[in-house]
Amino acid sequence: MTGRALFRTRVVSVLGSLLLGSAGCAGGAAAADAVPTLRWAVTLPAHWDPVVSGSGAQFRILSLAYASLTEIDEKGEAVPSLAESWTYNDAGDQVTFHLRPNLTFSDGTPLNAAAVRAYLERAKTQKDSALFGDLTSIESVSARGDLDVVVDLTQVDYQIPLLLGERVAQISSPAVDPAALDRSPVGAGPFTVVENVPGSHVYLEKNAGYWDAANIHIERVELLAEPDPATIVSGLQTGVYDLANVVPAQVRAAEAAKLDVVVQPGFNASNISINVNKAPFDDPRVVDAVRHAINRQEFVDKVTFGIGKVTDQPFPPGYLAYDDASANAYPYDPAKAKALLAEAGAVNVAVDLVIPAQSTAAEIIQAQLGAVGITVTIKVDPNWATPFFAKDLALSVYGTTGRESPVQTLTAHFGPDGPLNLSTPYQPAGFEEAVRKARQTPLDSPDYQGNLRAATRAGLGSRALVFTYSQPNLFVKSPKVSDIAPIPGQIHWTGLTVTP
Amino acid sequence: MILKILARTVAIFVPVFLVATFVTFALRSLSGLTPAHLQLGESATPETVAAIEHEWGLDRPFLTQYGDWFAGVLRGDLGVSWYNGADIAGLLLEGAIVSLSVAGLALVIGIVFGFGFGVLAAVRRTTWVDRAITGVMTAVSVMPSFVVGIALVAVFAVALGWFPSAGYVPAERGLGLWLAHITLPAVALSFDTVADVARQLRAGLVAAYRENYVTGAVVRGLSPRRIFLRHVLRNGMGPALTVLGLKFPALLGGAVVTESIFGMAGFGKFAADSAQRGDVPAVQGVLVVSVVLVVVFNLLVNVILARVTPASARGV
Repeated sequence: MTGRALFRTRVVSVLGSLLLGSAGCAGGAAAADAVPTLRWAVTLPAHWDPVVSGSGAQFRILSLAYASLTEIDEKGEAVPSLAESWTYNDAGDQVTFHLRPNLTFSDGTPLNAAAVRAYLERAKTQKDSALFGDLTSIESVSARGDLDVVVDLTQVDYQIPLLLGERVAQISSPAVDPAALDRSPVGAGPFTVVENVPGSHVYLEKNAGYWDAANIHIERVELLAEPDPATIVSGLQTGVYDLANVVPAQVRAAEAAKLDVVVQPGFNASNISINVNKAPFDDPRVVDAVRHAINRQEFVDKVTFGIGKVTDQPFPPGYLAYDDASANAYPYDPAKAKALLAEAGAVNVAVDLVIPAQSTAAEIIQAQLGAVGITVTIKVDPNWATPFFAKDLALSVYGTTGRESPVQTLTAHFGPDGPLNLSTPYQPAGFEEAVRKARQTPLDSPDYQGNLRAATRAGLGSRALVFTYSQPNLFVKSPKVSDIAPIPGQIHWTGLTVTP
Repeated sequence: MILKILARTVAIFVPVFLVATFVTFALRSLSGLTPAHLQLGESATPETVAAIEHEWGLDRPFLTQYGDWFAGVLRGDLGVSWYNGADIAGLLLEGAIVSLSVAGLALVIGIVFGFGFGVLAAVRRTTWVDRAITGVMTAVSVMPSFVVGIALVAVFAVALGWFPSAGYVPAERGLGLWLAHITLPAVALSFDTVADVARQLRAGLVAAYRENYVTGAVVRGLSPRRIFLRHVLRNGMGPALTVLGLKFPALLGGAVVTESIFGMAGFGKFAADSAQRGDVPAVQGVLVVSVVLVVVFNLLVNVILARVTPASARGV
């Protein structure tokens, strides 16, 4: 190095120190590209303890760090994961999961029957558990030997292998205090969290101890806090991100930029939630008027930019539990809606539509109901969840990410204590019986789909919910990332590759 | 003199800080927000909500809660987030480094270009140069940083590939990399400051040129450079400096938008996200830090102002 170059280097480093207050500035950014790395721009999960983490969308992210007891395949059927098989007893009220041998968590703790039992117990009893409501079918869990987890049920229920999938049974290490787990997760998933700065980024590296590690081809995953929807596409174009969630409004821009738009099937469905215990909806004719006043296509066009589908059920059309026989039972017919209101003597009907945040869907509802003579006042209440889950509202909206178990989706919406049933304890006549039958039908029985659809049909008798549209899960990815298997509601990391 | 300024600042700071924190703390009670729904989602029943509130100590008397929280603040402990249970002071520190990088660079750009254009316009006053600068500055001052940011990304990141379009890299991983990541957001953020400083400086300098002491200096045959540096600049830059003092909070506030556009986990984005989620302790933490930052920056400007234009310290 010549004297002048040395001097220049010194000047630069002194300037650097002045700017930073520290002299540490080693290069090393290029190192990240040496290994296949997936950079995913995403809403970072608030919680990494699967017991505490609430919404369905978060479990897709947690599946990087945690393996679940079962997974679902492209048809939505339960397939092995940590459990390589399961067997029901003859009565159908006990199911035994057979774990793979020699499983360990990323901290070295053995993942055995006792660990699974501890996890399910925790999910049932932990004070801030977001899952306990999903586990009412489970009476008790016990370990038989190292590999067999025996689950005793409160009723005959063949949905358990679906239920104990990604959302409800992402098994965490029992050796870690749950409070610590929330910040530094320890699971047995394909990746291990190596750095977690809440709100900023989470870095993960491949877990060599994952049961299917041979089929994980990505070495490193970087979860990055997503930017504004307006700059997501440019972030992928310039290689800052490889994968991101995308809003319908940006789909065209993504396609124009020659990025891959991934339309991942899901169980999502949006609804108008009605409380039949409150005026004016205590008159069934007013509810019917609402049903006929809704033009679903407008939601598809204006909210999903044509990407979604109309649905009048808690599932998208084409799904296993979607009942074709009930489709369009209340067609769009504003004249009929007006007539029903007149018949009910409901003049000058006014109602508050309380929602958690500004939404296009709410404005469409306001306009469509207004057109038949129901005056809707939109009230945005950041505290919306309190009255919603306490069933204090007369009218609201909800969108579910759905459940792997269709029966569970049905009971959540139509059951007498379903969290999404704004009219509890109201439930439609015949629903309880139909659900019991669906639950008691083995998944491989030829009657399964028929019984499931019958339960959907019975549920749709409910006056508490008017379903509107369904939007698939939308992602945009760089062509460097291989195709994502179209598994409803989930992303599987097995087989996925990223070209560096 | 500096001591006097310090004493005056502290005398103003303490009551402002007390009132501001008390009011925001009271807002939680008024809003009725609770951590329960952030945690429970669809499992929120009135019983579980009550249990969680008890766990967070929200069923205690208001003044007890405020007292505990304030004692924590004095120790540098801002509590934990309702949303993810993370330590707020730590998160704010992480975010503040990002935001101060961007706002700091924006301030530097604002000062350099603002002073440059302002001086140029004043020296060449009433010529086409002056008109052009004034016109462009007026246009620039009304461009929202959010639009500028998207345009900068389209041109300099996507089309030309000169800068990364998003993200933040800490300076420890390379000074060049750090600068590359903060340049576009800082430029987007600086437009307003450049324009305001330039216009204020031009006005201040032009007014100073009309003063009798400048005429006197010209008559005495002093060189134009000396007149400018000793008489005009010194007396005419007060308004521009004051504007700069007001700009700092605006830069931090504007960061909400630029950080969102550029996907940076800074102070502004943290503030906006926390407010949207109803994460009350985080919002309170943001407020505390903002008040401190703004006061410290104003203090700094006051000290500089007092040195440059001594009259300002006398309150004239």
